[in-house]
Amino acid sequence: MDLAVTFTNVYKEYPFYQHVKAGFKSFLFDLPKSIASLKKTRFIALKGISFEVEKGEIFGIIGRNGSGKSTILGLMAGVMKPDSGSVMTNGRISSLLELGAGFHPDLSGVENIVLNGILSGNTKEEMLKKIEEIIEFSELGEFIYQPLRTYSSGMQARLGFAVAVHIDPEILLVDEALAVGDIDFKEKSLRKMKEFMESGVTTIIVSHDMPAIAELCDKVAWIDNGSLMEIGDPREVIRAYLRHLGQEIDFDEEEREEVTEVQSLPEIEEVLDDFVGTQEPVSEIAGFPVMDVIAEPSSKPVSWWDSPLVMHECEMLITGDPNIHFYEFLKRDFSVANLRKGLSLCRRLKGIEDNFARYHACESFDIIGDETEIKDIPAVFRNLEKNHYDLFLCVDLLNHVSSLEIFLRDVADALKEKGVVIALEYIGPACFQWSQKSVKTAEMILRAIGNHGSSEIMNSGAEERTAVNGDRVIPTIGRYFDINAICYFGGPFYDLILNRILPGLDQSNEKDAALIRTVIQCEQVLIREKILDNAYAMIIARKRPHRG
Amino acid sequence: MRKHSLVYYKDLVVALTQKELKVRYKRSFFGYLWSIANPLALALVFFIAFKVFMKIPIENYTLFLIAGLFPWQWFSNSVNTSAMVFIGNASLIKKVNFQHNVLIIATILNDMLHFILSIPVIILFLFIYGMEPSITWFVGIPVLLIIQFIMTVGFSLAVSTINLFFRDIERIVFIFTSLMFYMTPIVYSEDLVPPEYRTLILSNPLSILLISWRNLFMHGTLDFRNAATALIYSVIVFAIGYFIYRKLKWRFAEVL
Repeated sequence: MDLAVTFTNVYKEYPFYQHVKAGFKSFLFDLPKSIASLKKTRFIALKGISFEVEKGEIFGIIGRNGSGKSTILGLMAGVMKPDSGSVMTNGRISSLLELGAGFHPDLSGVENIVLNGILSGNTKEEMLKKIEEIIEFSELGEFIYQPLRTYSSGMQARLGFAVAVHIDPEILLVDEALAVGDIDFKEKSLRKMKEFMESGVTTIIVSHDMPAIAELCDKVAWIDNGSLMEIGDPREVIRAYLRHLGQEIDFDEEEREEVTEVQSLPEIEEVLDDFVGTQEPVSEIAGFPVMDVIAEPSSKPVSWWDSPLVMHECEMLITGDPNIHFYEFLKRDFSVANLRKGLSLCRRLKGIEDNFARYHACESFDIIGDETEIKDIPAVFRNLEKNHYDLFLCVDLLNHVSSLEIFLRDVADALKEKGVVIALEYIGPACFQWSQKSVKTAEMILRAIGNHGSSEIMNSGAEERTAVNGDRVIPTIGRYFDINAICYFGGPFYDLILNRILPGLDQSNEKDAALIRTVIQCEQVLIREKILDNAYAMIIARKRPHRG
Repeated sequence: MRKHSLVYYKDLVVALTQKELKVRYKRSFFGYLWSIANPLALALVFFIAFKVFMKIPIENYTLFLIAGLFPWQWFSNSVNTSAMVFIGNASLIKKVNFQHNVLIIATILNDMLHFILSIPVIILFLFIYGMEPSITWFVGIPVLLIIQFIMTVGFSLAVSTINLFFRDIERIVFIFTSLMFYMTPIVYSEDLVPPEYRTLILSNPLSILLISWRNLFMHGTLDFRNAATALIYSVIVFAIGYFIYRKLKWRFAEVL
């Protein structure tokens, strides 16, 4: 039996490179502590994993985000070394590069092919021999002589895939790249992969696209938290994985009940009453200069959407009933169920799509989640067939699209008749600001909750945060879709308390988690009382049968 | 493995350098002129400040300035851009196993090419001042190019590697090169420096190299002792830079 990849008891840990974020100054000022923390706070990515991939096998790796899948690919590609154990690969390795990697927008398609091929380990001569074949496969025609920046992302994806499969890899590494290009090309890519299987090219695929994994792979490994959970027949492993994900939710609900006690403190009600009385009308805050939210520093410690805890709490807030989770609510109230194909555009937080699959709301998703692509949004749709998707999902995105009208029209084109749009967006005045008063109220709430001493409260003052045309989203959607519902569920206040006043809360810490929950609850009350105009909202809309 | 063969390494460096060149000029109308415009503008400023206003006692001052500014520009451009090279290629480094140092080398070769292309400008100024290029150039230029190349690689490798771990470096580097500029006899000549500071100025690894460039361009002389000292400096700098890079290159994919 010939082996292409052998992992023997592979152990890999990273230091938390916190100083990278904190910068040189704080690293130096706190040198002994920094070095100690480098040694102590290490993230264990892989905890002694062993498996083998046979030559010619198509091998899938599944698991949640952060479970260690990408580390495995990194070790296979040879860009990392294991801390202990051994990784052996046998054959020339090629990674299917994500869009943009190794490509340059100002170079033509041909120039990019050569450059990319050389970077992947070929000599120039070899590449020049193959170039005709690659151009033909990519189906780019005359475009191949144009600079890459004139390509749509679908075209770029074709080029990337065409190069990756033509440099004769013996082992091909594919990371989340199945969902690229239009349907024709996707089918062609799948065909090419199957061709590989027959020609004996070993392929290792990391993906969240369960149906594709089930169809393509000979063998699947499920990684969770750095350990190998199960390996073997694709369908069985995927089933075990989805079952496991379902169980975790039950566990979360038990935890929730304990927390309710914390929330029923009478002081909170008082504080809220106070807040109701003193809050300035939001209209006074509007009119500040508009800034681009994307230009904000990205080093926010906890962001609204990055927190799994918040996601679960919000499900409860939207449905209003802790026993009915968000997806049941979607199915029941909006008959969002058994949709076949979704398209997801998310600026952050990949994995929300997993939940849709887990609760049988939507079978599979095409995911576009790359920052650079998002900037170029109208182009993303250029290559999508009409009437292809049942569901369009976007998180924290519409506010950032500059040509929203065009974008939504493209979305409507890409959706099937009566297709559903679910958007999670900031809704409110174009700009908003935290006043001294809201900071004060936030502090009062914290004091009322009482598990964080006042010494920990650092007043950041009224800090300005603006959003681009936050209030244009709903009317614009209404122009192209029938809006079924808008559910508000807070956000900025949570941001204020957790990011500006009490940075560095730990989600996994019980006390901190309880605090976060309580803040979300407070926010819910404020929204219900119509005090908090700056909120996040979930918008559920449907495509009109006959668009004007 | 073929991946690490010399031919492959050469192809990689050439391809990347070509890419840099193409990218730089693809959308610009005046192209090459821009790479000379900057040092020439600087020379003009220094000429007015030091020659016209402060009457610095140096003959042929414009030529003097240009002979130092052009090689300096190569060094500082390379070191300043190198800070962002690894970060800018994050997605590549995370996925493809290749010699990351080629990215740096391509950047430096590219700047070196610009420097070589700017030599005709120096010749033009020589003629304006009634002088002419010397036959020693055929030996001197390659020798000094190699020395400066080695030194720049050393600095750039260190800067780009450390910048992955401490992003502040990209700011520090900018200050560092600006300070270095005035610590190096480019706008003044070494004999204008008071004797007690002269050792300080000459201990700067770039000083001797830039003095050598200037003497070569202006007087057609190449002092063997100076060249040897500069070479020793550059080998030391290279050794340090390469050591840092070697030590940390396995962490690149983790930290990016």
